[in-house]
Amino acid sequence: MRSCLRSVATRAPLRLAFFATLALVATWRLLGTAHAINVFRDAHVLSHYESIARTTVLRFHEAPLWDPYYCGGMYLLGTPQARFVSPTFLLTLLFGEPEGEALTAFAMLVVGLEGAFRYARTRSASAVASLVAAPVFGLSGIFAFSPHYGWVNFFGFALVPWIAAGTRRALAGHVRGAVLAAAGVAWCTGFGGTYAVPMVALWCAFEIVEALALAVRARDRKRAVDIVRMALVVASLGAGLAAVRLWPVAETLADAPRVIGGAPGNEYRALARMLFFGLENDTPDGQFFIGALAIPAGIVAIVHRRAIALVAYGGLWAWLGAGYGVFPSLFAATQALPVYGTLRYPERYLILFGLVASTLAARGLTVAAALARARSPRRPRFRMLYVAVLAALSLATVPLLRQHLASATMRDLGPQPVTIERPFHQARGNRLELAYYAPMERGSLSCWDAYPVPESPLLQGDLPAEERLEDARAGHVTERSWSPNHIDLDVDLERPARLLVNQNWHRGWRTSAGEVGSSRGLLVVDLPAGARSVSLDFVPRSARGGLFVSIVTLLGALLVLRRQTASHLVLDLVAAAPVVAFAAALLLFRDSSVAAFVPVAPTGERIVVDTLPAGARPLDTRFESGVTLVGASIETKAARAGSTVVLELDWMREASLEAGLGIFVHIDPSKGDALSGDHVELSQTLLLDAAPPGKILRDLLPITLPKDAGKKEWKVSVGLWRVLRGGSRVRIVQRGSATVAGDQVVITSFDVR
Amino acid sequence: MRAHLLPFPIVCLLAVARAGSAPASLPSPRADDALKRTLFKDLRGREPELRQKAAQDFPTDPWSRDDAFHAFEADRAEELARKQHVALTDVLAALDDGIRDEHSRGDMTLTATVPPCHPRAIY
Repeated sequence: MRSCLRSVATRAPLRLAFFATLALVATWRLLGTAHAINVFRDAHVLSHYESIARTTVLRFHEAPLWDPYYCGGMYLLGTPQARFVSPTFLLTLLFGEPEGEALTAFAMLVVGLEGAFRYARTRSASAVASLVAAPVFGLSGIFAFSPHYGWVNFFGFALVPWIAAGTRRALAGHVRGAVLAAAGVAWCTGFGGTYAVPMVALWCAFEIVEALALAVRARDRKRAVDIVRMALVVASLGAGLAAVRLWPVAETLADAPRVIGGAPGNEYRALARMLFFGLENDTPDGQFFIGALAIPAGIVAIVHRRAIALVAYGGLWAWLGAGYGVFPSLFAATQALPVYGTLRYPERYLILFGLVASTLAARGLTVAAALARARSPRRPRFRMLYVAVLAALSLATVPLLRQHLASATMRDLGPQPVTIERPFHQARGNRLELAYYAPMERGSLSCWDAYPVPESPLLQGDLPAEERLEDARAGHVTERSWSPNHIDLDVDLERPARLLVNQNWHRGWRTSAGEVGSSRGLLVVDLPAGARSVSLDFVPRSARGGLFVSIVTLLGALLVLRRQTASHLVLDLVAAAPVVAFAAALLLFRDSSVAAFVPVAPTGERIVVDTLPAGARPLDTRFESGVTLVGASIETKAARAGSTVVLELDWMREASLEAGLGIFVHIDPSKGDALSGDHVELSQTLLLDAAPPGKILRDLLPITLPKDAGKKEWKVSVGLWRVLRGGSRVRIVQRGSATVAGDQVVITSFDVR
Repeated sequence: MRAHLLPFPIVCLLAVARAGSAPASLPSPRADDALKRTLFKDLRGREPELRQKAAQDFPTDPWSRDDAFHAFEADRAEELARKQHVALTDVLAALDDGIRDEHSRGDMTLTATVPPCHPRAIY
């Protein structure tokens, strides 16, 4: 038995076959329903990105850069949750999205299992122990649970052990480790690892701290310098290889930052239920399941001193997983970092806890085996311990597999959509039925993603032609050809005119004639008079530049891949290559269309003005964070049950401003339920952080009164709160002419008939 | 031939075969024009009530309100597809065609626009 296990563990083809068999069992039901589509709301959107990437490649023979089928047009390559910049996209190309999704789950399970094996090996676990313990991470709850919601991009976590193992090898001086870690980062980024990439970056940071601590303890200064050098190589290669996706995603998030509020927290008991209890619908139980049978091996490892670092890792992930539920909160501290402030669910750090558990279990089994072999009077007892730990760890796979099978049966499935071939048009659409729109050649303006997708309020879902002239009498436009990244038009104009394209503007659009621009976010082209062909192309700098940086980095990586070690000069050159390539890309590539951002409310009003609008009551209430409520107004004369009144708050920010503020609006009736108008974007358009200082910032908030609003007095109070830092209210330091109570300004009271 | 190289590709092929042989759902019957008009009429008739309901749920947030309406609309569209035994595509296409048809005749009762995407800061 033992020699058989050793044979499988030490021979990569047999080990992969073993892991593939486990993955096949885990995904058996998923594969058996591969022709159906997951109809959960998130699955509609996430699978849409993959489907459209496939359609763009196979039908239009173009690179998947722009998606005209969703939100009125969006930067597909820059959409953080899209997963098509990954080797698994080949499965989608070959078999179609739903089938490709199931096969991707299978493939990524194998990747995760092998990764967990390899990481445990870097932590001195034996091959047999690493093999037996790998499922604790590789089949853990997140991989069972993700397909249920269509969160296929969460399989990016399967790459975490590869990146961690590569980093460990790199820090030990092996340059191939740096390439492995960088390749893992690039794949994970391309796979839509919105949580996995920032979390694994923390893991790598812990690895660096651990390696440096050992070097410092050994008083080995040269070693410490080498570690820092190699850490820079890993970071530079990782960012460089991922640039084809990282640059577009960074550009998207810079254009449309997401502010996540609240103070999410978990008690440690709740975290334990997520790790050790079975999956249950509508509860977080079992979402990060590792099972209890790995505990004995883990305990054996913990009593061994060499596991101290891993125990510390586990403690850190659990601490982060508790979010705001504990004090002090490490999660709250990370929220102040760029990118980490957008991670809403602290419990997802438990996925990394799973890798710690898997590695600890492997270490524990290794220690137990060593004790069982050692010449000692207690050898019979140690042999029993080894057998017990091995049996428990082997059996741990059973509940893990059951989680996968149970989760697969919990999915809501629907038939694949019917295809209707006809010309493309934007439709009002419905993002909750998104999978059905593109196959019938309709775009869905109804839109959701985890970030505020830039979307023009001028988009229309009823146009007979998607390209038209603003002044219809100026001439004629005929669409000659249409594809996601390219539109050919014949235009005949009697006088200069503006062409309106019923899609969102993006700086990556360019035209063969005239000038591309944005009209409240709508793609427009200003054309001179005359008859001509006009071609519109989507070729954003971030895609071209990102690809250039990735290729240069890849060449550098290939250069060192054949070496076990490299000189400092080579390492420095390899680390510098992506930075130089990025600088060159900035010079080489340009976006032709740059639109000045004019903040306008969705209803069309300018929201940055010089003077207080007529009718606003001056208040001059100053908050301690560098914001003043200059005035406010609300028209309540016609207020009645079911009607909408508009509250206008006129703010002014100072040059120095506390970041991450939100506006709370309490609308309290004399009896019954209160309404909340809390928000972070002024007039649903502009963050306080991004607003110009010294100007009046109009914040228009429509309030629809409930059907039972009549015969009540309603009081409207507003204030500021710290969205990013636990939600505390911002203190009022100067009352002005307002009525103030509890750091909120009472704007008005009114009766509803 | 190195026999130990075979098991892994064989298991991978089994996975592909399993996915490839998954039962395909029977194609739903297609709706004719008359049925499409009936479907549109149903959705059109319910829209004001559903929008009002969504506005009660999200009184101060235009995007969330519209999104909540679309959730109600999706539920109804699925229910209609089930009851009438037609493809969901046809129900959604009937709504799209109906809006276009009405707007081309100047009847703008149903809106063909949406508020820009603004996911909430707090859920």
